[in-house]
Amino acid sequence: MKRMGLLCGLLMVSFQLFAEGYQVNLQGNRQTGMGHTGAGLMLGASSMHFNPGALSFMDKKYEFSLGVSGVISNNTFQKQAPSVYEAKSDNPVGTPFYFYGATKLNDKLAVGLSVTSPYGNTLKWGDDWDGKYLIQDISLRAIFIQPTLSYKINDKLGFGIGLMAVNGNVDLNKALPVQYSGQDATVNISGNTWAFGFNAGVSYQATEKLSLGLSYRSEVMVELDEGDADFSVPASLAGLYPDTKFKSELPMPANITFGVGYMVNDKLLLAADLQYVGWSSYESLNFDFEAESVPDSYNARDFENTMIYRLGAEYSLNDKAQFRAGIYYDSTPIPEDRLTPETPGTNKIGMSLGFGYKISDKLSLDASLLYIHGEKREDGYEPTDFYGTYYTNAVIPGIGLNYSF
Amino acid sequence: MKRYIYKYAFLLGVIALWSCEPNTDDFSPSKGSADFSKFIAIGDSYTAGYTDGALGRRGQEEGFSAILGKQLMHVGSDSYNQPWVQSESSVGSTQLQPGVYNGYYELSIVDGSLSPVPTIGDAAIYAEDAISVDNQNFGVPGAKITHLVTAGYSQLNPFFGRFASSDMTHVLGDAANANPTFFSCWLAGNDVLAYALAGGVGSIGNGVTDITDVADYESAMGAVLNVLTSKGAKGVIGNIPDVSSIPFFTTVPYNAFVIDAATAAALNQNYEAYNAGAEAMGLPKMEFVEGANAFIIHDASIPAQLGSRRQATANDRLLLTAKSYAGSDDFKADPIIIDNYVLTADELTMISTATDAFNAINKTMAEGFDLAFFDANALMAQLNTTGLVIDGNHYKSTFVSGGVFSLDGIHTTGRGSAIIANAFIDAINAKYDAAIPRANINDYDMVEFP
Repeated sequence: MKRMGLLCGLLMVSFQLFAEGYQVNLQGNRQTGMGHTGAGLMLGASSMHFNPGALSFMDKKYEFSLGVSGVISNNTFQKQAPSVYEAKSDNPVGTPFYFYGATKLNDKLAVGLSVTSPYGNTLKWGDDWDGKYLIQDISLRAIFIQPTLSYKINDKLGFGIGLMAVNGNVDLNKALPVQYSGQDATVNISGNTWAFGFNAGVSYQATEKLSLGLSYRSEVMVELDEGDADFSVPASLAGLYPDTKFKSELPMPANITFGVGYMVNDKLLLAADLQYVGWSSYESLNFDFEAESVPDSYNARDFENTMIYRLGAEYSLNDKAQFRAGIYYDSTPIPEDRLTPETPGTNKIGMSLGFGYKISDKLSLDASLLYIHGEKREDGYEPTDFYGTYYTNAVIPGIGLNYSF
Repeated sequence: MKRYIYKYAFLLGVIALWSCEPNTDDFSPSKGSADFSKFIAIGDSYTAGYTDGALGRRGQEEGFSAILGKQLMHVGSDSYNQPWVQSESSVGSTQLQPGVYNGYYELSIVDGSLSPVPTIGDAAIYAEDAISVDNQNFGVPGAKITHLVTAGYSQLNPFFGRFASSDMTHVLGDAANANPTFFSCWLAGNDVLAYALAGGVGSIGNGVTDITDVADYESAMGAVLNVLTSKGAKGVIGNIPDVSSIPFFTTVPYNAFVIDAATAAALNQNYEAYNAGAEAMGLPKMEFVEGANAFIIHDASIPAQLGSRRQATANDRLLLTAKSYAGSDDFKADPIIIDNYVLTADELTMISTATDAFNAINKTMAEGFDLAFFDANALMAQLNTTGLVIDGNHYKSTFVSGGVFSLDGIHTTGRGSAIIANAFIDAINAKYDAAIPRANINDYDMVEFP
């Protein structure tokens, strides 16, 4: 009971977890329940995402894990004073998911395949809101397919590497400042493409109680060569704005995570992660349109590298049930005067609870609930002079199943 | 175990409730030291909501005074009543045929290019009875400052006739009878604009196309502000934009006279005698080449034996209407831009001298009467140079595409009016320590494309 009290105290002073920019850290319900820590832990198949070095420490011969989260996010925009204008986003529920399947080929070598969606962003402000010339709605999603190889060098040290094949998809709508028949002209931008990267990790069981891990996920530059731009413009301008192809690129930034796990006793596991995200590669979002008459679009982003600090705990109530809790602090990569309604980032505090239950020897279930509280942020995007105060939060319930034998 | 579950259930419940929507800190409008309970606007076509070359309900709803009136409802005003146009149509002041006046201009494709075309207006609007004791909009298209204090002005200007309380009243009298606690007074320029629109055909005086005499301007403005503030009302006044920032005077280039080689040769031959005479008098010669040339314009300062004409330079300004004149049969017979369609450098100097003098008076009066001051001249100059980026769009003075000016090239679109209304709001907030919310520019309309 005393320990529970401590955890509740932690929850009270802090808030909760999903990540800044358009990164979505929800790749394991067990980890999510613990503030999305995991780089320093040995958590079986899901290690492929958190630290492929830890995969070689898996207990069973086969392990499968799959899960899904429902991102219920709210964004409120209040226009810069003096103004009484306020807008609320009507975001569809995002559904990031994960699947892991792994097997031990022998005592030292494990292989696996993971499918995750660690980047994405779905935001719907509406067709006629005040920032319609910046964005009406956007849906970004990247699916990572990752074959992974992990090798246990000795009983304490494991190393792993994965190849990431990334399918990136974007679909956005924005209004253009030309009016006809009582409406604005609009453009729909969409595209889908493949890109590649890798991840690698080292996992070290320092003592019986202490484990350490270092994991790296490379940047993946998603280059779109054949995107579609569909313009809806007045007939008199149709010749200047034909539907056309465009080129663009969007980085999925590199991540370096250092993690620690500590078994306090048989029942309590503590974990901490430091995650460094290389957002500075996101300098601008540019659209190079094929049709000569359509002016190319340059949009400064100037993101900055960030750090995420995570703490988590798992308490085993008995052989079957575990409670989990965690907190994290995720600083925003978006500098002053570069805050857009397409990614209205702010420093975020995440707070999570989790529950694990061993249904049988082979099957277990993990549930998590994450609450993310974004600090209110009064800022805007200087190149288009759109300023106000953004309020953000999200509630993310998640559920997952693990099957091992 | 059970106690733990309750504890978690309680926490989850708290989180669920907490998370529905972020709490926001709302903006609180405030009237500061002013009293906006009865707002009136006095002025000219801008105040009236004239747009696209005509007065109609659409323009009245999106005029700057209507937008200002609406925003003032956040700080104590409870209405903004206008002498609404009752007709579905609109009416302007250009007589297309005897008895037929223009309505709103519309953008149409003419000979393959986009061009504003007047619709047929509804002249019955002139005779409408829009008289009401509740009226708060005393904007009269065409009015100069001196007209506001001219008794019987309704007999001269049907736009005032529509809502004047009597045949012998004047605009100021009716406005004062509304007992305002707050007013806007902005005459954006008929005191110089009437002259400019006539291509500088006029002088200084009281004629329709004259520039108002500075002393008359000062005394009329003094009278207006004296009367309106006599019962303690506060207010805001605006100054006069330079004509060189208005697309009606900046759209047609001086050197857009495009001809073929044969025409150039013929003109050079025609003007051989002119060039000999000009050379003797030390004046510039006229020369034409295939392609783009400076237009030939009327200039009264050129001796009559040279036909009072010369080629335009970058210092002259052709009116927007010169474009269609350059396509007329008259122009084909004698390719000269006649006096009504061009402002020569001398005429422009006259206009800017008067504008500067009027604006000096406006500034002094704003200080003297302790009123808020809207620098319309600076705003229009900015729109004409760098433009203004607002909420995702770059606004400029550019005709048709700039977003600010309507199809008449003089009056604003709804967006332009909202930009002006916000500038008024900024001036009022600063002066009276108020917090009137700005209008959302994107809620209003720009030029409609076909």
